[in-house]
Amino acid sequence: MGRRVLAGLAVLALSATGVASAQTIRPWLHVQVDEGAKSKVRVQLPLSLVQIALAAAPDTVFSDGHFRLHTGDSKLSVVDMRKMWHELKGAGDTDFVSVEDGDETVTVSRKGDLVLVRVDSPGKKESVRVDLPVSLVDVLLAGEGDKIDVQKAFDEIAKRRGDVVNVKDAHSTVRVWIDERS
Amino acid sequence: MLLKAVGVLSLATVGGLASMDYAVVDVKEGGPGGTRIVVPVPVLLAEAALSFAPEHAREVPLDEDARKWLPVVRKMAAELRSIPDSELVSVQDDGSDVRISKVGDHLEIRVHDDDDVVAVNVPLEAVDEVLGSVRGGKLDVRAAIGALHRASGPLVDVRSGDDHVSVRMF
Repeated sequence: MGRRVLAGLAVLALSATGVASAQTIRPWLHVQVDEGAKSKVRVQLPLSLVQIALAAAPDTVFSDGHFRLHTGDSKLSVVDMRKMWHELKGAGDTDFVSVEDGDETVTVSRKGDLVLVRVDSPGKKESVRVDLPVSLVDVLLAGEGDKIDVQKAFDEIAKRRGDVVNVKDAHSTVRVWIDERS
Repeated sequence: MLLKAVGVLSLATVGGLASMDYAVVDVKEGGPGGTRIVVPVPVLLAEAALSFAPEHAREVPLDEDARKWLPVVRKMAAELRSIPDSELVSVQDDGSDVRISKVGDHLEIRVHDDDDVVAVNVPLEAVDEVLGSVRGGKLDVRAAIGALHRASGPLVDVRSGDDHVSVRMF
């Protein structure tokens, strides 16, 4: 009887620990910017704090949880991007866009559940690596008109773990990633 | 009998004064002949004194931008209180070093820039209390002073060259 009580208490204690751990687990956004040896910036914030700050963004950009994407003079509107995405999404792992312009190569492709954006300029020693979850692109382009639902996009980003952005040029590196460590 | 009464009253006064919260402002001018001023301010007395101040001195109107940011800052302060101790921001650039960390119930801000060293500790609970006192777009100065009861230890420490200014709570 005593052993059963002890075993029960042990299970209860482990469960409580699990619940407590689950409650305290929170995603952190990390930003690291290095410009040679003279400038280093490190920012690490819980995503919940970033979300609160986003809510304070100017009304012209962020209104009622929606972000308006102005494509300016670009001929590619958000509506066009949305249509393209709906058509390409079902294609599976593939290159969506591949552009070579002089020394610069831009590719947008899908690999598994990620959309990979790669920009390489060997001559300028620049490279950009952006990995976006397919689910995030879905959310970003799920709205109507030129609106993007930031809240939903944020909820998707919060699920991501690992590198989101990696940029290197001749003089600086930028890395943005999400994990569960402060 | 009278002596006993005086003795008890004196002890009560000293005991009362000793149990008060004090903000100690210490200003030290560097260099030869530099002056030093130390002013201990009992927070309770400052609050009481404010009762006699005119109404416009007891409330500080906030502009539209400040009012808009108020709920955001309160939420951020509350969120900061819930996270583990961490360094949040670190910037090293051209000889200057800025760090913002959450330590215990404080937000610590540290700046090193050539000859200047600034250390500010912001008690997060006090931030919530002060901002929570805003009514009708006006900050209650008495509540802001009263929030100092929540603080302890160094609040501000600024060194510039040989000059030194500090504000501590006891």
